[in-house]
Formats: sequence, C-alpha cells, structure tokens
Amino acid sequence: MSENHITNLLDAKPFSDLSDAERLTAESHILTCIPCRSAYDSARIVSSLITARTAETAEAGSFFKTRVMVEIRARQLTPEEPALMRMWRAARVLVTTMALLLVVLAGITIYTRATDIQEVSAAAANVYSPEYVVLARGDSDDELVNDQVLETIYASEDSDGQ
Amino acid sequence: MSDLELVSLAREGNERAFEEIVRRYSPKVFRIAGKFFRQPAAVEDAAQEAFLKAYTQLSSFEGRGSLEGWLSRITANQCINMLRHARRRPEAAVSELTEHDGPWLENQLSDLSAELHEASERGRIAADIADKVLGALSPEDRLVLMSIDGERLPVKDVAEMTGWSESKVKVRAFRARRRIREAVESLLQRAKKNGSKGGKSDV
Repeated sequence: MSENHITNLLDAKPFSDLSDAERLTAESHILTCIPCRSAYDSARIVSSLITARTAETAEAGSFFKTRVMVEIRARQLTPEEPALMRMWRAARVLVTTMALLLVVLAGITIYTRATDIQEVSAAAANVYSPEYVVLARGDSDDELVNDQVLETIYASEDSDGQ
Repeated sequence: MSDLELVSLAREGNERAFEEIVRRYSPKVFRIAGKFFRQPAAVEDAAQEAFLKAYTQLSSFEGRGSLEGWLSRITANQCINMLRHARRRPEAAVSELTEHDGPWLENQLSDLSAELHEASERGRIAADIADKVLGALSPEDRLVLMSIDGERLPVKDVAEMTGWSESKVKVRAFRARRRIREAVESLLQRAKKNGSKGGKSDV
C-alpha cells in the first residue's frame, strides 16, 4: 500500500509543476488516504508561501554603488594578487634570509675545512704534537707495539707485588 | 565594455571599472540575497559584503565562466555564511508560528482563493510566515528551494550558483521540500488541536 502514497510525488518537484495527470492521481488518492491528504494540503500551502515570499523583491538603492566604493576605501581593500604572488610576498624575506644564511654557512664550512687541513699538516710536522703521534704512529721501527707495552706494565706490577 | 575588460581594469585598481560591475550586477546580487534575508537593510548588507569579497578576489576570476555566475556563487556563499552565523535554532523558528499564525494556516486550508492571495496584506502575512517556516531549513536548503520552487530557476543554474552537481541540487530540493512540508503539516495539526481545545473550552 505504501508504494501508492503520494509523498514522493509531492517532494519530487514544485507543487505547481505537477501535471494534470499527477494531480488527478494525487487527488483521487487523498480521498481514501488521510496521511496523504494532510501531506497534499501542506504541500499546497508551502507552494503558496514560497510564491508569496518570492514576490517580495529587494532592489539596490540609488546610493548602493557609492556605499560599496566608500566601504572599499574605508577598509583599504585592494584586489588580491594571485596566490603564488601572495605566497612569495609573504615569504620572500624569510626565503632570502635563509638563502643568505645557507651561503654563509657553506662558506664557513669550506673555509674552516681548508684551515683544518693546513693546521693538521703543520702539526703533523711537529714530533711532539698529538697529531704527530696519531698520524705517525707505528711508522718508527723502534717504537713499542701495544703487546710490548702491556708486557712491560704487567712485568712491573708483578715485580712490585713480590 | 565587456565584463572581462572591466575585471582586468578593476584588478589594476581602476575604481570606475568596479563601480560599473556593481551597477551591472546589483539586481542579480540583490535577488540572491533577498532569498535569504527579508529586511532591506540585511539584504543590502549581504549584497555589499558580497561585492567587497568579489573585489578582493578579482584575481581568482579567470574568465572561464560568466562574471554573473561567479558573482552569484560568491553572493550565495556569503549569504549562507551570514545566515549560519545569525540563525537561531530551527525549532525556535517553527514554534513561533503556533500562536499567531496558526489561524492563517487554517484559513489557507479552507480558503485558498486567488483574490485572497492578491490582497497585499495577505501576501505580506504569507511572506512573514514563509520566512519563519523557511527558517527551519538550512541556508543551503533554503537557497535551493527558493531558487527552484520560488524563482523557477533551472537545476543547472542552481548547480552553477552553488558549485554543486545537478544531482546534488535535485536531492537537496527533494529533502528541503519534504522538511518544509512536514514542518507545515505538524504546525497545522497543532493549530487544529489548539482550535478544537479552544472551541471546547468556549462551550
């Protein structure tokens, strides 16, 4: 029975757009169906309400154009640039600063590396410097190897114990 | 001068060009704002905000669609946002009807003659009630219903104005009709109940 109800028909299009055949179907149905009768009456009222509301028109006053232009000046509005331009404008100081910082850091890194190499080379030439010990370790034939050092330490400890 | 030329000049800061755009499209913008707001001051405020938004967003108008369609969409969105901020709870809007407007709705049922509708006072009351009943709908549903059922705009135009697909507009319209019909139906039932109670108490 429910498939014969007319609510879907009423909601599918504006009430005034119902064809004669659809109206006839609906009106014959509401003779026996009380819920649909109520729905049909309501749809008819809604239609007249919307018509009445639509009949009310608002028109721009003669000073509207002036009002808009005054408001644009008062709020200091400007036509916005495209999004990419806006992004660049907002971020350009930050981006420039970061780029400069990057260049400075790269320069410092290159300069300090070159200086370090020179210093290490100079230090390596000094036989009393740690760099010499590290870089030239094992080069000398008369230098003790680790095992010999350990043996010497243990031997001295043993003799102390006795 | 074409719309594109006007937009191009306005983008460069030519105020005369934008003034011409406002003059050309005020009727359309007012018509859309009038679907959402009833008080002339509110309609004018909404229209003004729509034009101000359009002015700041001129760069986003690429000229693919019409300027009218672009402005319509901005206006509809602007009005939806304004109404969302301003709207009261839907229940409150509908419950306001029961006391004063019930008799009018009952009259509608019993006497829906054309003469009655043509009377300006009747029309004003009907528009009052319509506004209250429409307040029960979401701003989007209200726009769809007023555009399709009220102004008889094609679904395609409403789709362009809202940026929705045509099928979405149809579904929205269907649901909006159902909601508003059910709201009026329940009001009528309440009005009838109140009427019968009043009648009994008189006896």
